Amino acid sequence: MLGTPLPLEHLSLVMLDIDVPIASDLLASMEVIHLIESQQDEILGDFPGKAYQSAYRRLDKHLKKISPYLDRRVVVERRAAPVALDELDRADKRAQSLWKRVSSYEEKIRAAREKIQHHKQLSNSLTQFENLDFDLGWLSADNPFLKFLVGTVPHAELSQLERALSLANTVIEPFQKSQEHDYIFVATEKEHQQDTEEILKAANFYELTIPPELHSHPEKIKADIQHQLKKNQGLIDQYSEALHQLIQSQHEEICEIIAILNMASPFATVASNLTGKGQLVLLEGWVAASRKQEIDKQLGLKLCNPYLLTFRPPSIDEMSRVPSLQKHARLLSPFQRLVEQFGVPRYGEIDPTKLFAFSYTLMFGMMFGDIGHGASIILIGILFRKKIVGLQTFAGFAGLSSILFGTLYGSVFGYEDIIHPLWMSPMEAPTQMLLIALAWGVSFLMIVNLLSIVNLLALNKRAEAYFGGNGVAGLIFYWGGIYGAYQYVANQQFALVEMVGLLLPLSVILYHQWQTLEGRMAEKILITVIEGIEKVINRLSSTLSFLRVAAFSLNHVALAAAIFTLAGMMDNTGYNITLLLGNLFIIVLEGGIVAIQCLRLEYYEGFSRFFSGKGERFTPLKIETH
Amino acid sequence: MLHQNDSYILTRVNILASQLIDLNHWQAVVDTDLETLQTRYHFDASSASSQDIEKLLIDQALSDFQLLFRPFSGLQRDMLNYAVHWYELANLKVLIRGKFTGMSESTIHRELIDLGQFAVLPLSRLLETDDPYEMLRLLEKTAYSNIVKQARTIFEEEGQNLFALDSAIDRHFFSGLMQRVRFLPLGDQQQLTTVLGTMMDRLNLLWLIRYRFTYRLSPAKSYYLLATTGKKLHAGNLMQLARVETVEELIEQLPAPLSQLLSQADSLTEIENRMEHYTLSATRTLLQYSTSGITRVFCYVLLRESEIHLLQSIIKGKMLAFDEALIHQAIGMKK
Repeated sequence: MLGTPLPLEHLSLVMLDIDVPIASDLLASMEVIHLIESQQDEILGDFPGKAYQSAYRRLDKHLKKISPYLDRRVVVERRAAPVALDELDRADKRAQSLWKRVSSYEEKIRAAREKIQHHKQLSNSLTQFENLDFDLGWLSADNPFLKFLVGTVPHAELSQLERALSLANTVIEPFQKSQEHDYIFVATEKEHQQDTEEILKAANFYELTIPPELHSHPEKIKADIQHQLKKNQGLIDQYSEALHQLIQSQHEEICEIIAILNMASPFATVASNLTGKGQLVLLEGWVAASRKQEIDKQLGLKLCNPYLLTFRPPSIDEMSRVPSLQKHARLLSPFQRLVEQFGVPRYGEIDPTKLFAFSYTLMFGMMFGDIGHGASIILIGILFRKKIVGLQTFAGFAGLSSILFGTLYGSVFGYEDIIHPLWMSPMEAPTQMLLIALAWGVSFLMIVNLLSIVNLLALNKRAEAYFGGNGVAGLIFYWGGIYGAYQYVANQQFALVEMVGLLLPLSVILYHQWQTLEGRMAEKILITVIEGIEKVINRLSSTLSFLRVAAFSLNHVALAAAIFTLAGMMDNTGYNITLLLGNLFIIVLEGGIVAIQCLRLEYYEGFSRFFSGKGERFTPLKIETH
Repeated sequence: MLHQNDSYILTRVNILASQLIDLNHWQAVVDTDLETLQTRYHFDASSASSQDIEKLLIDQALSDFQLLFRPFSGLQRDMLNYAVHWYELANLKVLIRGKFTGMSESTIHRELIDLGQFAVLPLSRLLETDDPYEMLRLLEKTAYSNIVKQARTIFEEEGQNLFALDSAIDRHFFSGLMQRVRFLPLGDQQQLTTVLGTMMDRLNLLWLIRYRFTYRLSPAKSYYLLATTGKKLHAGNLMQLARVETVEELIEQLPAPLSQLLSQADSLTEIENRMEHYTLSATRTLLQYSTSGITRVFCYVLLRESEIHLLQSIIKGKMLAFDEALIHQAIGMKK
C-alpha cells in the first residue's frame, strides 16, 4: 500500500561528440533521464559543450531582455532537428543586434524624459525669475571677472557644495526649493570657473539657461518652453512607436529565435554534465528501470555512429545520491505536495504519501465530524479551486471524512438532534473518545516505528534498525511501556515482567547510543542518562499528543453548544445571524486549527521518526519552453 | 541596565570578538607558514586565487554577521544590514569600472563578492547588460540612482577620473549610514557616532592627502570629495586643511591627538598605517567597553573587515613567496 520511489538504474552513454545533440534531444523529448555530473572526470578530463552552453546562455539573456516588449502571443513551432553551435551563435547575434536597437530607442526615450524634466524645472523657476528686481541679461553677458550660473542641485549636496565652493571664492545663493532640488545662484571668479564647474558637475548640478529677454518677452520664453516640452514628448511618442514597430516587424524572427532556444535547451543542459576526451563523450544519469528497453531502442534508431550504452542498479554507496521518482494518482497530488513541504523521500525510503493521505483524512474527520460543516468545506474547495491548486481535492477528502464522522456522531451544523447518530455523540462518552484517540495514537506510533525499521534497513543502517530508538529495540520498548501501563491501570500490577519489558530494550538502546558516542567518560554518561530520560518522556508525550484527536471532537460539540446558547439569548433575527456567523467561525477558525493540528501530528509524531526527507526529486531532462 | 536580549548580544559578540586576531599577534600570523594558514582558513593555495581567498574570508565573516544581526530588529537591524553594504559598494565600483572599460562579463564576475542575503543591488542583471548605457538605466532604478547622472557624464566625457565617482558612491553610503544612526535610541546613537567619527577621520584625512598631494586637485574639489565630518575633523578643520600646500603643514595643523600621532610621518603609507592602528585601537576599546550592543556589533564588523584585508595581504604575500619585510610593509607593521 505504501510503496517506495520507483526503481532506478544508472545510465552511462559513451558516444561521439557529434551525436550528443541528437541524443540530448531524444532523451529530453522522452523525459526519462535525471542527469548527474560524471564521476569519471579524472579519466575524461575535458568538458565538451562549454561553448554551446555559453552561447545558449547569451541567447537566453538577450531573449529575456526582449521578451517584455512582446505584445503578441508568441507561437513557437517545434523544430525537427537539433540546433548546431554555429546556428545558436547566429541566433544570438540576431537577438543581440535586435536588443541593441531596442536599447538605443530606450536610451533616446530616457534622454527625452530627462530633457522634459529639465524644462519642467525651468518652467517652475520662471515665476521666481520674473519677480526678481534684477536685469537677467546681465547674467549671461560676458563679464571679464565673474561668471554667473543658475541651476538646481539635489538637497543632499547643498551644504557640502557651499563649503567646498567657498574655498574657490565662489558664492552660492539658494533662492527656491522643490521636492528634490534646491534652485541656486552661483557667482564665481573667472580664474576659478573651471574648478567650480567641475565640482558643480560632480554635485549633479543642472544648469538652467535663463534667456536675457525673460523680462521683456516672458510669454515668448514660456511658449518656447512649452514648445520644448511638446517636442520632447513628441520624440518619446515617436521613439515608442518606432520601438513598437520594430518589435512587430521582428515578431516572426523572434518566434524563430525562441524555437531555436527551446530546441537548444536539452544539449545546453546536458553540456554542463558532460565529460569527454577528444571526440569521445560520456553522459551519465538515472533512468526508471522500466524504461531501459525503450531508451535502448530509440537510441539505436537515432544514433548513426557507434555508441556504448550501459545500465546498472545503484550501488549501496550511492543510494543517498540517487534521486527519487514518485508516481501517484492525481487525487493524491495535494497530499504529495504537503509531504514535500517536509521533504522528498530518499531513494529506497518508504514514500509516506498514501499513509499520510489516509491518516490525515481520518484524523480530520474524527476531530471535525459534522455533516453540514463537511459539506461546507467541500463547497469552499469548489469555490476557490482556481485560486489554490489542489484545494478542491484536499477539501473534498477532508469534507467527506467530516461528513462520514458527522453521520457517526449525528451532527449537522452543530445540531445533535436532527439525525440519529450511527455510533454516538462525542459528548455522550468523552472517556471512550479519549481511549479511542489513545489507541489510535499507539497504533500510529507503532506503524511509524515499523516504517522506520524498514527505512533503516533499506539504507543499510542495520545496527540502528535493530538497536536504535526508532528500531526494533525502540518498538519492543514501546510495547513494553504500553503493556506495563495497561497492567498497572487494569490490574494495579507492575512486577518483574513489566520491569524487564521496559528496562531491557531501553538498556539495549542506551548501550547502542553509548557505542556511537565520542568524548570523555563523564560526558558520555551525562549524554546517555539524558538521552534515556528523553526517550521515555518522548514516547509518553507522543502517545498523549494523540489525545487532541478526541479533545477536538469534544471541542467541536462544545463550540456548537456555546453558539446555540448565545443565539438563544437573541430575538429571531439575532438568533439566525448568530447561528450563521457562529457556524462560519467554526468552519474557518476551528477547521483551520484542526487542519494544522493534524498536520502537526503527521509531521512531528510521524514523519520525523521514520522519514528523513533528504531525498532529491527526480528532475527529467526536457525541452524547455520559453 | 542591560536587557535580556542585550546580554545575549554581548555574549555572542564577545565570543566572536575573542576569535579576532589581536593587534600584537599579527607578527605571529606573518610567521605562520602557508600550510598552517590553509588549514586554519580552509583554502587550497594550489588552486585558489587571491580573489577566491578574499571571497572565502568575506563569506565566513558574512555568516558570522548573520548570526550577530539575528537578535536585532527594526531600525537597528536596518542599520547593521546597511553597514554590510560596504562590500556591495566594492561590487558596484568593480562593475562600473569594468563596464566603462569594456571588460568581459566573466572577468568582472570573478571580482565580485557574493553577499548572499545581504545583497540589495541586482548584480547579476547589472552584469548581464550589454553596454554601459543599459547598465546605467538599470542602476537608475536602484538605491544608487543619484550617482547615475554623474556616472553617465564620466562615461561620456572620457578622461575624467573614476575616483570622483568612487567618492560619490562612498559619500552616499556614509550619509545613508549616518542617517540610520540618527534614528536609533540616544545611547546607541552617541556611541555609534564615536566609532563612525573615528573611522571617518581616518578616511577623510587619507582621502584629503591623496586628492591634494597625489592627484593635485584644488582645495575646493578635494574638500567636496570628502565624506561626512568625523569626530576630530569637522567641516571647519577639513576646509582649513584643504587649503594647505604641504603634507608637513597639514600634519602640523591637525587637531590633537592626530598631530602628535602623525608627527614626522614621512610617507602616505606611514600615515595610513598609523591612522589604521589608531582607529583599530579605538574600535577595540569600544568593542570591549561599550554598553550598547549594536555599537559592539558594529565595532566587530569593522574589526573583522580590517582583519580580512590584513589576512588577505599576508596570504597573498606568502603565495607569491614575498620577503617577510615586504609583507610587514604591506600590512603596516614594523618587524
